[in-house]
Amino acid sequence: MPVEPSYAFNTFNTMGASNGSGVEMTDSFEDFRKKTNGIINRIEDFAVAPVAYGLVTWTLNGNTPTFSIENSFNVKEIRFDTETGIKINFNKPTKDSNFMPYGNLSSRDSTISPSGWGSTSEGRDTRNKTDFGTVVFHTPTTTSINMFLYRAGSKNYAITDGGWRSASFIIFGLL
Amino acid sequence: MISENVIPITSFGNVGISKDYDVQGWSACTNGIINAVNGTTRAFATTYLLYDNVNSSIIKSSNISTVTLDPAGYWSLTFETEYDRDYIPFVNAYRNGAGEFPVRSDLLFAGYRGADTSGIDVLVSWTDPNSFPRGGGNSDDTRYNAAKSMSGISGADGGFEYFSVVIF
Repeated sequence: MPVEPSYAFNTFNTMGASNGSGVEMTDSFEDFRKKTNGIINRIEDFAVAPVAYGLVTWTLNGNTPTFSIENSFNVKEIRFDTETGIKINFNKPTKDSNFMPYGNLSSRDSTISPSGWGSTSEGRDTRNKTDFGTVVFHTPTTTSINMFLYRAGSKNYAITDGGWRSASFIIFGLL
Repeated sequence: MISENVIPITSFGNVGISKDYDVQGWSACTNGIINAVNGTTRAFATTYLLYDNVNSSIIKSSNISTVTLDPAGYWSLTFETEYDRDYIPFVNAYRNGAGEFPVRSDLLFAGYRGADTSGIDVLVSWTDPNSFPRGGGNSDDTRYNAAKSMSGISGADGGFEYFSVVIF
């Protein structure tokens, strides 16, 4: 629920503090209070923001991957096992587990070799021909979320097949 | 972006506003918060939807007035407040973790079409080895049995309980 009294955020969030917007020196404390409450409402009730993101990379020794995490936000650690895939543990727990997660497979190599062509939205599936790879999130909690890196119907094959080298993810939620 | 009387949030974001600030310092910090919210990162999205596709219910949303399942298998969303600019939609489906995974989760497709100022259509589908996602041609062609995860039919949803939309 929005806090009150407040001014709607989009009535004072624009240009320059001297032309009638933003917080002004001429504001009364009541105006100040309403504007601050408007900011709180904007953040708490009407917006989502990244609660975690990062770039997961891995190297292979045979079929055994070694993972690392780079350029991350609110990621305590990542763990991997074949049953649950890559588990992303958060530094700071989130308010709830109703996330909106997004991820992509990628590679820093000049050649990506997923043994297929096109995308999952194009072409007839002919088994291992168009299965480009998909990041599938599952089992969200306030302290973690898991992701499988799918390919060829296998939960983790995108890790071990050698075509991909990294996966980016961003998890949106309420602050 | 507010340009006058601003203390960037990077100067006080970890410690909060100092009690030693006077009104000017306090207001400058508040302007720094406004700039952080509305400014350079664009990290906040005020239009979003998280939908429970098992119970056909909205878990949370903002700036979404209606969510309608078209018989062809896609969802039509309308906005409470229309957009006056191009916007950037993200669409995805994911699992709560219960039940079996669909046969071919690597063929999950999530996308959108018809994005305009007042609304957007959302398509989420997965396919089994004997089917395929609809791609070229008419995306409403139900012969291809696409958009399974949007069917609302228990057991036919491929294990994806949720779909989400975030628009920047």
